[in-house]
Amino acid sequence: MYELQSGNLPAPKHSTTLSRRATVKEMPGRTEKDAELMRRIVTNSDKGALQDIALHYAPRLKTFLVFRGEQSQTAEDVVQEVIILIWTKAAQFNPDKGTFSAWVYRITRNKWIDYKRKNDRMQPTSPDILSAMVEDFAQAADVDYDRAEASTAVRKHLAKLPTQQKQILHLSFFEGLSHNQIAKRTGLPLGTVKGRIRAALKKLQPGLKNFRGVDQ
Amino acid sequence: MMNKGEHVYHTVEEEWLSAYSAGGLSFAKHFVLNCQAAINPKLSPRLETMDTIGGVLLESANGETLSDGFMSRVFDKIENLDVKPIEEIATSQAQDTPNLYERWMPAPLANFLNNEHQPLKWKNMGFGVARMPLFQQGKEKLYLLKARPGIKMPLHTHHGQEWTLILHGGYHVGNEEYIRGDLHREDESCTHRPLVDDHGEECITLVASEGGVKFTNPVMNLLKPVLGV
Repeated sequence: MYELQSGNLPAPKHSTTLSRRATVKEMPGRTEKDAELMRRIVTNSDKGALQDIALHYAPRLKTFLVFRGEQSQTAEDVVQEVIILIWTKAAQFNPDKGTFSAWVYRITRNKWIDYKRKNDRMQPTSPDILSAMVEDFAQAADVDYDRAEASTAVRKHLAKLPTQQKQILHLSFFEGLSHNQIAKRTGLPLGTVKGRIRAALKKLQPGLKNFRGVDQ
Repeated sequence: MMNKGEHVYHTVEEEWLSAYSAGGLSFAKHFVLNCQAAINPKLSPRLETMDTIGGVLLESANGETLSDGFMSRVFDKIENLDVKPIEEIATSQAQDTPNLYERWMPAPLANFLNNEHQPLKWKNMGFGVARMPLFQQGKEKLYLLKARPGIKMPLHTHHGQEWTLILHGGYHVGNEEYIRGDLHREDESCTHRPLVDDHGEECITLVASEGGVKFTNPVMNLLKPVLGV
Protein backbone atom coordinates (compact mmCIF):
# COMPACT_ATOMS: atom_id res chain seq x y z
CA MET A 1 0.00 0.00 0.00
CA TYR A 2 1.23 3.47 -0.71
CA GLU A 3 -0.05 6.73 0.58
CA LEU A 4 0.27 10.27 -0.58
CA GLN A 5 0.22 13.08 1.89
CA SER A 6 -0.20 16.67 0.90
CA GLY A 7 2.03 17.77 3.73
CA ASN A 8 1.83 21.48 4.35
CA LEU A 9 -0.65 22.23 1.62
CA PRO A 10 -3.39 24.54 2.85
CA ALA A 11 -6.88 23.08 2.92
CA PRO A 12 -9.21 24.15 0.10
CA LYS A 13 -10.77 27.52 0.84
CA HIS A 14 -14.26 26.31 0.08
CA SER A 15 -14.33 23.46 2.56
CA THR A 16 -13.63 23.30 6.23
CA THR A 17 -14.59 19.64 6.50
CA LEU A 18 -12.29 18.11 3.92
CA SER A 19 -9.27 16.34 5.19
CA ARG A 20 -5.99 18.05 4.48
CA ARG A 21 -4.49 14.70 3.72
CA ALA A 22 -4.81 13.55 0.14
CA THR A 23 -4.61 9.81 -0.17
CA VAL A 24 -3.80 7.59 -3.09
CA LYS A 25 -4.09 4.02 -1.91
CA GLU A 26 -4.10 0.85 -3.87
CA MET A 27 -7.49 -0.80 -3.67
CA PRO A 28 -6.82 -4.44 -4.49
CA GLY A 29 -9.81 -6.16 -6.07
CA ARG A 30 -11.84 -2.95 -6.39
CA THR A 31 -11.97 -3.08 -10.20
CA GLU A 32 -13.22 -6.67 -10.21
CA LYS A 33 -15.70 -5.99 -7.42
CA ASP A 34 -17.13 -2.96 -9.24
CA ALA A 35 -17.47 -4.93 -12.47
CA GLU A 36 -19.31 -7.70 -10.63
CA LEU A 37 -21.67 -5.25 -8.91
CA MET A 38 -22.44 -3.62 -12.25
CA ARG A 39 -23.12 -7.03 -13.79
CA ARG A 40 -25.62 -7.76 -11.00
CA ILE A 41 -27.35 -4.44 -11.60
CA VAL A 42 -27.73 -5.17 -15.31
CA THR A 43 -28.69 -8.82 -15.11
CA ASN A 44 -30.82 -8.83 -11.93
CA SER A 45 -31.76 -5.16 -11.39
CA ASP A 46 -30.05 -5.74 -8.05
CA LYS A 47 -30.57 -2.71 -5.81
CA GLY A 48 -28.27 -4.17 -3.19
CA ALA A 49 -25.46 -4.00 -5.73
CA LEU A 50 -26.29 -0.35 -6.41
CA GLN A 51 -26.22 0.30 -2.68
CA ASP A 52 -22.76 -1.32 -2.43
CA ILE A 53 -21.48 0.85 -5.27
CA ALA A 54 -22.98 3.96 -3.69
CA LEU A 55 -21.59 3.10 -0.28
CA HIS A 56 -18.08 3.27 -1.67
CA TYR A 57 -18.35 5.99 -4.30
CA ALA A 58 -21.06 8.45 -3.20
CA PRO A 59 -19.03 10.02 -0.33
CA ARG A 60 -15.98 10.28 -2.60
CA LEU A 61 -17.99 11.84 -5.41
CA LYS A 62 -19.27 14.36 -2.90
CA THR A 63 -15.66 15.22 -2.02
CA PHE A 64 -14.89 15.60 -5.74
CA LEU A 65 -17.71 18.15 -6.06
CA VAL A 66 -16.96 20.00 -2.81
CA PHE A 67 -13.38 20.46 -4.03
CA ARG A 68 -14.91 22.21 -7.04
CA GLY A 69 -16.64 24.73 -4.81
CA GLU A 70 -20.10 23.19 -4.48
CA GLN A 71 -21.99 23.47 -1.21
CA SER A 72 -22.72 20.24 0.62
CA GLN A 73 -26.39 20.08 -0.40
CA THR A 74 -25.73 20.84 -4.07
CA ALA A 75 -22.93 18.28 -4.14
CA GLU A 76 -25.31 15.65 -2.73
CA ASP A 77 -27.99 16.55 -5.27
CA VAL A 78 -25.52 16.02 -8.11
CA VAL A 79 -24.21 12.76 -6.57
CA GLN A 80 -27.79 11.55 -6.23
CA GLU A 81 -28.34 12.13 -9.95
CA VAL A 82 -25.08 10.32 -10.70
CA ILE A 83 -26.17 7.25 -8.67
CA ILE A 84 -29.45 7.23 -10.59
CA LEU A 85 -27.49 7.45 -13.86
CA ILE A 86 -25.39 4.46 -12.75
CA TRP A 87 -28.66 2.55 -12.41
CA THR A 88 -30.25 3.67 -15.65
CA LYS A 89 -27.10 3.51 -17.80
CA ALA A 90 -25.56 0.43 -16.18
CA ALA A 91 -25.86 -1.61 -19.36
CA GLN A 92 -23.64 0.90 -21.15
CA PHE A 93 -20.73 0.14 -18.84
CA ASN A 94 -18.33 -2.30 -20.46
CA PRO A 95 -15.52 -3.57 -18.20
CA ASP A 96 -13.53 -4.54 -21.31
CA LYS A 97 -13.30 -0.87 -22.21
CA GLY A 98 -12.11 0.50 -18.89
CA THR A 99 -12.68 0.60 -15.17
CA PHE A 100 -15.89 1.52 -13.41
CA SER A 101 -14.08 4.25 -11.47
CA ALA A 102 -13.05 5.98 -14.74
CA TRP A 103 -16.62 5.60 -16.04
CA VAL A 104 -18.22 7.12 -12.94
CA TYR A 105 -15.55 9.86 -12.81
CA ARG A 106 -16.52 10.82 -16.37
CA ILE A 107 -20.26 10.69 -15.66
CA THR A 108 -19.88 12.86 -12.55
CA ARG A 109 -17.74 15.43 -14.32
CA ASN A 110 -20.19 15.65 -17.22
CA LYS A 111 -23.20 15.81 -14.90
CA TRP A 112 -21.58 18.63 -12.95
CA ILE A 113 -20.75 20.63 -16.10
CA ASP A 114 -24.32 20.19 -17.30
CA TYR A 115 -25.57 21.28 -13.88
CA LYS A 116 -23.44 24.45 -13.96
CA ARG A 117 -24.44 25.24 -17.52
CA LYS A 118 -28.13 24.96 -16.73
CA ASN A 119 -27.92 26.95 -13.52
CA ASP A 120 -25.77 29.69 -15.02
CA ARG A 121 -28.44 30.14 -17.69
CA MET A 122 -31.15 29.82 -15.06
CA GLN A 123 -32.72 26.97 -17.04
CA PRO A 124 -32.54 24.16 -14.48
CA THR A 125 -35.01 21.97 -16.38
CA SER A 126 -33.32 22.21 -19.78
CA PRO A 127 -31.95 18.90 -21.08
CA ASP A 128 -28.53 17.54 -20.17
CA ILE A 129 -26.01 17.61 -22.99
CA LEU A 130 -22.80 16.01 -21.76
CA SER A 131 -24.17 13.50 -19.26
CA ALA A 132 -26.67 12.25 -21.85
CA MET A 133 -23.71 10.73 -23.64
CA VAL A 134 -21.69 8.36 -21.52
CA GLU A 135 -19.53 6.97 -24.29
CA ASP A 136 -18.69 9.62 -26.81
CA PHE A 137 -15.10 8.96 -27.84
CA ALA A 138 -14.14 7.75 -31.28
CA GLN A 139 -12.17 4.53 -31.43
CA ALA A 140 -9.16 4.30 -33.69
CA ALA A 141 -9.05 1.34 -35.99
CA ASP A 142 -5.43 1.99 -36.80
CA VAL A 143 -4.15 2.55 -33.28
CA ASP A 144 -2.93 -0.50 -31.47
CA TYR A 145 -4.65 0.22 -28.21
CA ASP A 146 -6.34 -2.17 -25.84
CA ARG A 147 -8.38 -0.03 -23.44
CA ALA A 148 -8.57 -2.57 -20.64
CA GLU A 149 -4.84 -3.25 -20.89
CA ALA A 150 -4.07 0.47 -20.96
CA SER A 151 -6.24 0.99 -17.91
CA THR A 152 -4.40 -1.71 -15.97
CA ALA A 153 -1.07 -0.20 -17.05
CA VAL A 154 -2.13 3.25 -15.82
CA ARG A 155 -2.95 1.86 -12.37
CA LYS A 156 0.32 -0.01 -12.22
CA HIS A 157 2.43 2.96 -13.30
CA LEU A 158 0.53 5.37 -11.06
CA ALA A 159 1.51 3.23 -8.08
CA LYS A 160 5.16 3.55 -9.02
CA LEU A 161 5.23 7.33 -9.50
CA PRO A 162 7.28 9.40 -7.05
CA THR A 163 5.17 10.92 -4.28
CA GLN A 164 5.62 14.45 -5.62
CA GLN A 165 4.18 13.46 -8.99
CA LYS A 166 1.26 11.61 -7.40
CA GLN A 167 0.57 14.64 -5.25
CA ILE A 168 0.40 16.95 -8.23
CA LEU A 169 -1.84 14.56 -10.17
CA HIS A 170 -4.16 14.47 -7.17
CA LEU A 171 -4.33 18.26 -7.07
CA SER A 172 -4.92 18.45 -10.80
CA PHE A 173 -7.36 15.59 -11.46
CA PHE A 174 -9.13 15.08 -8.17
CA GLU A 175 -9.12 18.55 -6.66
CA GLY A 176 -9.52 20.16 -10.08
CA LEU A 177 -6.85 22.83 -9.61
CA SER A 178 -5.32 24.57 -12.62
CA HIS A 179 -1.55 24.51 -13.00
CA ASN A 180 -1.41 28.11 -11.75
CA GLN A 181 -3.45 27.21 -8.68
CA ILE A 182 -1.20 24.23 -7.98
CA ALA A 183 1.84 26.48 -8.19
CA LYS A 184 0.28 28.88 -5.69
CA ARG A 185 -0.80 26.08 -3.36
CA THR A 186 2.52 24.27 -3.35
CA GLY A 187 4.82 27.25 -3.71
CA LEU A 188 6.49 25.57 -6.66
CA PRO A 189 7.38 27.56 -9.78
CA LEU A 190 4.75 27.17 -12.52
CA GLY A 191 7.31 25.60 -14.84
CA THR A 192 8.08 22.93 -12.24
CA VAL A 193 4.38 22.14 -11.84
CA LYS A 194 3.92 21.81 -15.58
CA GLY A 195 7.09 19.74 -15.86
CA ARG A 196 6.01 17.33 -13.12
CA ILE A 197 2.55 16.85 -14.61
CA ARG A 198 4.01 16.33 -18.07
CA ALA A 199 6.56 13.87 -16.73
CA ALA A 200 3.90 11.92 -14.83
CA LEU A 201 1.53 11.80 -17.79
CA LYS A 202 4.30 10.78 -20.13
CA LYS A 203 4.84 7.67 -18.05
CA LEU A 204 1.12 6.93 -17.96
CA GLN A 205 0.02 7.74 -21.50
CA PRO A 206 -0.20 5.06 -24.14
CA GLY A 207 2.62 5.60 -26.60
CA LEU A 208 0.88 7.56 -29.27
CA LYS A 209 2.33 9.68 -32.02
CA ASN A 210 0.99 12.18 -34.50
CA PHE A 211 -0.04 14.91 -32.12
CA ARG A 212 1.23 18.40 -32.07
CA GLY A 213 0.66 20.42 -28.95
CA VAL A 214 0.72 17.41 -26.63
CA ASP A 215 4.29 16.28 -26.63
CA GLN A 216 5.80 19.69 -27.01
CA MET B 1 8.10 6.53 -36.69
CA MET B 2 5.82 8.79 -38.63
CA ASN B 3 5.39 8.22 -42.35
CA LYS B 4 6.57 10.97 -44.64
CA GLY B 5 3.71 13.27 -45.56
CA GLU B 6 1.53 11.98 -42.72
CA HIS B 7 -0.61 14.72 -41.20
CA VAL B 8 0.44 15.81 -37.73
CA TYR B 9 -2.77 16.41 -35.80
CA HIS B 10 -3.24 19.53 -33.75
CA THR B 11 -4.85 19.67 -30.37
CA VAL B 12 -4.42 21.76 -27.25
CA GLU B 13 -1.53 21.34 -24.84
CA GLU B 14 -1.53 18.67 -22.14
CA GLU B 15 -2.53 21.26 -19.53
CA TRP B 16 -5.84 21.84 -21.30
CA LEU B 17 -6.43 18.12 -21.75
CA SER B 18 -5.95 17.51 -18.04
CA ALA B 19 -8.26 20.45 -17.27
CA TYR B 20 -10.82 18.81 -19.57
CA SER B 21 -10.60 15.56 -17.63
CA ALA B 22 -10.83 17.34 -14.28
CA GLY B 23 -13.89 19.33 -15.39
CA GLY B 24 -11.96 22.59 -15.29
CA LEU B 25 -12.93 23.92 -18.71
CA SER B 26 -15.88 26.10 -19.62
CA PHE B 27 -18.82 24.30 -21.22
CA ALA B 28 -17.87 25.66 -24.67
CA LYS B 29 -14.24 24.46 -24.52
CA HIS B 30 -15.23 21.14 -22.95
CA PHE B 31 -17.74 20.65 -25.75
CA VAL B 32 -15.19 21.45 -28.46
CA LEU B 33 -12.79 18.84 -27.03
CA ASN B 34 -15.65 16.34 -26.76
CA CYS B 35 -16.32 16.86 -30.45
CA GLN B 36 -12.63 16.49 -31.30
CA ALA B 37 -12.48 13.18 -29.40
CA ALA B 38 -15.60 12.05 -31.26
CA ILE B 39 -14.05 12.56 -34.70
CA ASN B 40 -10.36 12.11 -34.01
CA PRO B 41 -9.72 8.61 -32.64
CA LYS B 42 -6.09 9.41 -31.97
CA LEU B 43 -7.07 11.82 -29.21
CA SER B 44 -9.40 9.42 -27.38
CA PRO B 45 -6.75 7.25 -25.66
CA ARG B 46 -5.12 10.33 -24.14
CA LEU B 47 -8.38 11.51 -22.63
CA GLU B 48 -9.31 8.00 -21.51
CA THR B 49 -5.96 7.69 -19.74
CA MET B 50 -6.63 10.91 -17.89
CA ASP B 51 -10.09 9.73 -16.87
CA THR B 52 -8.52 6.49 -15.66
CA ILE B 53 -6.12 8.50 -13.49
CA GLY B 54 -9.09 10.46 -12.15
CA GLY B 55 -10.90 7.19 -11.47
CA VAL B 56 -7.99 5.67 -9.55
CA LEU B 57 -7.70 8.82 -7.42
CA LEU B 58 -11.46 8.74 -6.83
CA GLU B 59 -11.39 5.13 -5.62
CA SER B 60 -9.13 5.90 -2.70
CA ALA B 61 -10.09 9.49 -1.91
CA ASN B 62 -11.35 10.55 1.48
CA GLY B 63 -15.13 10.66 1.41
CA GLU B 64 -17.43 13.39 2.69
CA THR B 65 -20.21 12.32 5.03
CA LEU B 66 -23.58 12.08 3.34
CA SER B 67 -26.74 13.35 4.98
CA ASP B 68 -29.11 10.88 6.65
CA GLY B 69 -31.48 9.14 4.27
CA PHE B 70 -29.33 9.78 1.19
CA MET B 71 -29.81 6.28 -0.24
CA SER B 72 -33.51 6.19 0.66
CA ARG B 73 -34.00 9.31 -1.43
CA VAL B 74 -32.08 7.73 -4.31
CA PHE B 75 -34.22 4.59 -4.17
CA ASP B 76 -37.43 6.64 -3.95
CA LYS B 77 -36.44 8.42 -7.14
CA ILE B 78 -35.56 5.14 -8.83
CA GLU B 79 -38.96 3.71 -7.81
CA ASN B 80 -40.64 6.72 -9.35
CA LEU B 81 -38.65 6.27 -12.54
CA ASP B 82 -40.06 2.76 -12.67
CA VAL B 83 -37.32 1.66 -15.01
CA LYS B 84 -34.94 -1.25 -14.87
CA PRO B 85 -31.36 -0.83 -16.03
CA ILE B 86 -31.72 -3.28 -18.86
CA GLU B 87 -34.89 -1.61 -20.10
CA GLU B 88 -33.27 1.76 -20.03
CA ILE B 89 -30.57 0.84 -22.49
CA ALA B 90 -32.94 0.32 -25.40
CA THR B 91 -34.57 3.69 -24.72
CA SER B 92 -31.34 5.53 -24.09
CA GLN B 93 -29.68 4.13 -27.18
CA ALA B 94 -32.60 5.30 -29.24
CA GLN B 95 -32.40 8.74 -27.63
CA ASP B 96 -28.65 8.95 -27.92
CA THR B 97 -28.62 8.13 -31.61
CA PRO B 98 -28.27 11.51 -33.24
CA ASN B 99 -30.28 12.55 -36.21
CA LEU B 100 -27.91 12.58 -39.13
CA TYR B 101 -27.98 16.28 -39.82
CA GLU B 102 -24.87 16.22 -41.94
CA ARG B 103 -22.04 13.76 -42.44
CA TRP B 104 -19.48 16.18 -41.08
CA MET B 105 -21.29 16.66 -37.82
CA PRO B 106 -19.77 14.96 -34.72
CA ALA B 107 -22.25 12.99 -32.60
CA PRO B 108 -22.01 15.35 -29.58
CA LEU B 109 -22.92 18.30 -31.81
CA ALA B 110 -25.86 16.45 -33.38
CA ASN B 111 -27.03 15.51 -29.88
CA PHE B 112 -26.67 19.11 -28.73
CA LEU B 113 -28.82 20.37 -31.61
CA ASN B 114 -31.36 17.60 -30.98
CA ASN B 115 -31.58 18.30 -27.28
CA GLU B 116 -31.76 22.04 -27.73
CA HIS B 117 -34.24 21.62 -30.61
CA GLN B 118 -32.07 23.78 -32.81
CA PRO B 119 -32.26 23.27 -36.57
CA LEU B 120 -29.08 23.82 -38.53
CA LYS B 121 -29.66 27.37 -39.69
CA TRP B 122 -26.85 29.48 -41.12
CA LYS B 123 -26.80 33.26 -41.01
CA ASN B 124 -25.02 34.77 -43.96
CA MET B 125 -22.40 37.28 -42.85
CA GLY B 126 -21.26 38.28 -46.32
CA PHE B 127 -17.77 37.80 -47.76
CA GLY B 128 -18.60 34.09 -48.33
CA VAL B 129 -18.90 33.38 -44.62
CA ALA B 130 -21.93 32.08 -42.68
CA ARG B 131 -22.36 31.56 -38.96
CA MET B 132 -24.65 29.68 -36.62
CA PRO B 133 -24.64 30.61 -32.92
CA LEU B 134 -24.99 27.64 -30.56
CA PHE B 135 -24.42 28.79 -27.01
CA GLN B 136 -23.20 31.72 -24.95
CA GLN B 137 -22.02 31.79 -21.34
CA GLY B 138 -20.80 35.17 -20.15
CA LYS B 139 -18.60 36.53 -22.93
CA GLU B 140 -17.70 33.11 -24.27
CA LYS B 141 -19.50 32.06 -27.43
CA LEU B 142 -19.81 28.70 -29.10
CA TYR B 143 -20.74 28.79 -32.77
CA LEU B 144 -20.35 27.14 -36.16
CA LEU B 145 -18.61 28.99 -38.95
CA LYS B 146 -18.74 28.11 -42.62
CA ALA B 147 -16.44 29.64 -45.23
CA ARG B 148 -16.37 29.34 -49.01
CA PRO B 149 -13.39 27.52 -50.55
CA GLY B 150 -10.41 29.72 -51.35
CA ILE B 151 -11.36 32.61 -49.07
CA LYS B 152 -8.56 34.54 -47.45
CA MET B 153 -9.80 35.64 -44.04
CA PRO B 154 -8.87 39.18 -42.96
CA LEU B 155 -5.75 39.55 -40.82
CA HIS B 156 -6.84 39.39 -37.20
CA THR B 157 -6.04 38.53 -33.60
CA HIS B 158 -8.33 37.60 -30.70
CA HIS B 159 -9.65 38.94 -27.43
CA GLY B 160 -8.78 36.04 -25.13
CA GLN B 161 -8.58 32.57 -26.56
CA GLU B 162 -10.23 31.04 -29.56
CA TRP B 163 -10.47 27.28 -30.06
CA THR B 164 -11.37 26.19 -33.59
CA LEU B 165 -12.18 22.58 -34.43
CA ILE B 166 -12.19 21.78 -38.12
CA LEU B 167 -15.23 19.65 -39.02
CA HIS B 168 -15.12 19.79 -42.80
CA GLY B 169 -12.64 21.00 -45.42
CA GLY B 170 -9.59 22.77 -44.08
CA TYR B 171 -7.38 25.84 -44.10
CA HIS B 172 -3.78 26.93 -43.88
CA VAL B 173 -2.11 29.50 -41.66
CA GLY B 174 1.27 30.06 -43.25
CA ASN B 175 2.75 26.60 -43.73
CA GLU B 176 0.59 25.05 -41.04
CA GLU B 177 -2.24 22.86 -42.33
CA TYR B 178 -5.50 22.33 -40.44
CA ILE B 179 -7.89 19.60 -41.58
CA ARG B 180 -10.91 17.72 -40.20
CA GLY B 181 -10.17 16.58 -36.68
CA ASP B 182 -7.61 19.31 -35.94
CA LEU B 183 -8.09 21.73 -33.07
CA HIS B 184 -6.46 25.12 -33.54
CA ARG B 185 -5.94 27.30 -30.46
CA GLU B 186 -5.08 30.97 -30.77
CA ASP B 187 -4.90 33.85 -28.34
CA GLU B 188 -4.08 37.53 -28.20
CA SER B 189 -0.40 36.89 -28.79
CA CYS B 190 -0.92 35.81 -32.39
CA THR B 191 -2.01 37.74 -35.46
CA HIS B 192 -2.90 35.49 -38.36
CA ARG B 193 -4.67 35.21 -41.68
CA PRO B 194 -6.19 31.80 -42.38
CA LEU B 195 -6.52 30.80 -46.03
CA VAL B 196 -9.39 28.38 -46.65
CA ASP B 197 -8.27 25.48 -48.83
CA ASP B 198 -9.53 25.66 -52.38
CA HIS B 199 -10.38 22.01 -53.01
CA GLY B 200 -14.02 22.68 -53.82
CA GLU B 201 -15.16 22.05 -50.24
CA GLU B 202 -16.50 24.58 -47.80
CA CYS B 203 -14.64 24.82 -44.54
CA ILE B 204 -16.88 24.25 -41.52
CA THR B 205 -15.54 24.84 -38.03
CA LEU B 206 -16.81 24.71 -34.47
CA VAL B 207 -15.51 27.70 -32.54
CA ALA B 208 -15.31 28.51 -28.83
CA SER B 209 -14.35 32.16 -28.55
CA GLU B 210 -13.72 34.01 -25.29
CA GLY B 211 -14.00 37.53 -26.66
CA GLY B 212 -14.28 37.67 -30.42
CA VAL B 213 -11.82 38.77 -33.06
CA LYS B 214 -9.83 41.97 -33.40
CA PHE B 215 -9.12 42.91 -37.03
CA THR B 216 -6.00 44.81 -37.92
CA ASN B 217 -8.03 46.67 -40.55
CA PRO B 218 -10.06 49.40 -38.75
CA VAL B 219 -12.84 49.22 -41.36
CA MET B 220 -13.34 45.53 -40.58
CA ASN B 221 -13.51 46.41 -36.88
CA LEU B 222 -16.36 48.81 -37.64
CA LEU B 223 -18.21 45.95 -39.34
CA LYS B 224 -17.87 43.60 -36.36
CA PRO B 225 -21.37 44.26 -34.94
CA VAL B 226 -22.82 43.47 -38.36
CA LEU B 227 -20.71 40.34 -38.70
CA GLY B 228 -21.44 39.28 -35.14
CA VAL B 229 -17.84 38.27 -34.35
